Amino acid sequence: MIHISDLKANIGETPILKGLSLDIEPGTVHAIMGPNAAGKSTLSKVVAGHEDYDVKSGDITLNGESIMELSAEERAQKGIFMSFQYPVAIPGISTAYFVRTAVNAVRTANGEEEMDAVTFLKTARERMKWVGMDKALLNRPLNVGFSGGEKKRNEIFQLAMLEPQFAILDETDSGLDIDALRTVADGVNKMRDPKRSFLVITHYQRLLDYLKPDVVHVLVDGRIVYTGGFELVHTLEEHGYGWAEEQIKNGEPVCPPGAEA
Amino acid sequence: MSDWRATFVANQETFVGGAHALAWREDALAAFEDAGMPRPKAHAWKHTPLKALKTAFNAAPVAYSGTTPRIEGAVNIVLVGGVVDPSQSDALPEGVTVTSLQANLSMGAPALPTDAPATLNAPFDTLNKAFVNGGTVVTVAKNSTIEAPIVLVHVGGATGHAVHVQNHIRLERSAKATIVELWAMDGLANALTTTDTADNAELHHIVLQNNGPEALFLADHRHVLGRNARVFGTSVALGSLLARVGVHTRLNGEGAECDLSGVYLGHGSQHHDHTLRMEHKAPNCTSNQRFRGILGGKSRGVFSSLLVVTETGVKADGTQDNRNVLLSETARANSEPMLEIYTDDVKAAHGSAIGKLDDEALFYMRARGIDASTARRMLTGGIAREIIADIADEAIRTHAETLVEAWLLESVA
Repeated sequence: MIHISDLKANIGETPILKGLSLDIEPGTVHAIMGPNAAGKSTLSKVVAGHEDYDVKSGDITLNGESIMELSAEERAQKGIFMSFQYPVAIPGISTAYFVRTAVNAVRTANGEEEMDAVTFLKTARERMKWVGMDKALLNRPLNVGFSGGEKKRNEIFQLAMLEPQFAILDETDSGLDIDALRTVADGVNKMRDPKRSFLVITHYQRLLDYLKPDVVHVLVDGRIVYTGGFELVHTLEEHGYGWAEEQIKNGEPVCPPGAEA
Repeated sequence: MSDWRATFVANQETFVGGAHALAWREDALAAFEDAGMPRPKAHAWKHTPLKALKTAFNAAPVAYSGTTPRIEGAVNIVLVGGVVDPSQSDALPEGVTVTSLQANLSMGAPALPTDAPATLNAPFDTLNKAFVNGGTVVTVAKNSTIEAPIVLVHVGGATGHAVHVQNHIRLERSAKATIVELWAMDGLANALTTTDTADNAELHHIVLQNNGPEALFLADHRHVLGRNARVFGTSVALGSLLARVGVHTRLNGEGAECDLSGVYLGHGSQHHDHTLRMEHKAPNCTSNQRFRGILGGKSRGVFSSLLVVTETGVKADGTQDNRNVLLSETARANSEPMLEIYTDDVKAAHGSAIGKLDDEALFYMRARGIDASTARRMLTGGIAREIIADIADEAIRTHAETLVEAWLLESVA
């Protein structure tokens, strides 16, 4: 579904992604874990089409078609979704107006009919329940005065409304308490589908315990240095990333503690 | 003989009030001539070019054949070239009287409220007095709450011609009303509005300025508030090539409150100027100002506001907040909140900003599939809606939103 090959990207003159490759099959959940400044958020923004990042080389394809020349909105219309680490607050635009405009922009771009106001409200209320989001927030200006948890629930609510093919969750767990984490994870699990895949970016094991990723990648210094199964989450939680950084520095093959080289 | 005098002499036969009124008109014209046009560096006009007003505007009345805008759900009083047209106007609810100013002019110069503050648009106030040919006197009886908004719809005028009007609004004790000025004129509209809000009364004064693209608009607003009186003023400025709104407010009674807000949207070569003076003269008064500029093309926005707390204005609480978004490299904004305080024990806060649309907000919207120009329109519309949301009356708010939406579609790509 999503294929990333040898992606190199800079912010200004500073290289952040240094040849990153990744394959994500339909219906799977992948996780990327890594130390601060490894390039996790850069990867999500480059995939979503943020213009501040300078892509030097490499390719990203969705269902075999390169998305590199597409604008952020065209990528979203093709079914790529990013849940923001820091959702933006916009005074003067209600959550309902924003989400409905987004849903209809995606529908129109795909030749579908717009969702009418009544259907929208009904669907929105139902899906807000999935993520435990207060329906009063629909009429409030987008993310203005929302708590950290409400903002993240709002991200997953939008994911549920937009029904993307591929969703990146960029540190969706940050700022969530345990109960909220569980509700948000339940919301994501409801969205799992054989045709939809997820890339979950996080520092912590807890969200991944709920989401049970099929594949776990370790991202260090702009590259995927190791890929394993769900068990890798616990290794990383226990040992951190220092071993990987050390092995790379010494020019050794990357191999987590306790794993066969 | 000045150009203005020439058109005065040529048209004085047509002036309302006839010969009785000529003496005070003459005096006003002489005062205008004495003052002369403001020098380019004059403080009150330093950001606002007056080139377009250098030559006199014809005072002869012009015929009107346009379509008059109306606001559904409101009481519309239509003034054509400043003159009330009863045939286009709605019936008034009980408790309000609207009389044509013309009826008063033969009895003397229009009376301003006692304690009304001075003009901020000098010397054009004298020009207004010399040529005044219409307007209204609106009175809301004491203890009356008028639910339906009263809209003074100003239409008519023509390029090269001037209309000078005065609207004098008085709310008697404990009255409550919404009075709207809807402007859809051409040529020069030179307008004085006084409001006199008596003790305990509450006035909502909304100005929707949607004049023609070549129009010039000089609005001279003067508010005076009694004890515990409340005035909520909102200015939505869309039209005119040059629009100056000078708002001088005097908080004259203890415990008075005045909230002024506004949004000005500029494109092409438009110039929007809001010049304010908020005077805390009585103790325990509150004032808030919240203005937003959305400026594209080569347009320019000016917010120049002086908050004055006099020696008697103790325990004043005042805020001034102005933010501007520039949509193009060539748009400009001046933002000048100023304070002048002559007593202790005052709370005053001000904020001012000039910037461009938030790139992160744009990216957020685009990442949800909303195309860039729709996103820009939504963001700028959001800024305008923050102000329009202050309009309490739904019919007026909806009308303001419709005007802004149309502007955005035309102006934000």
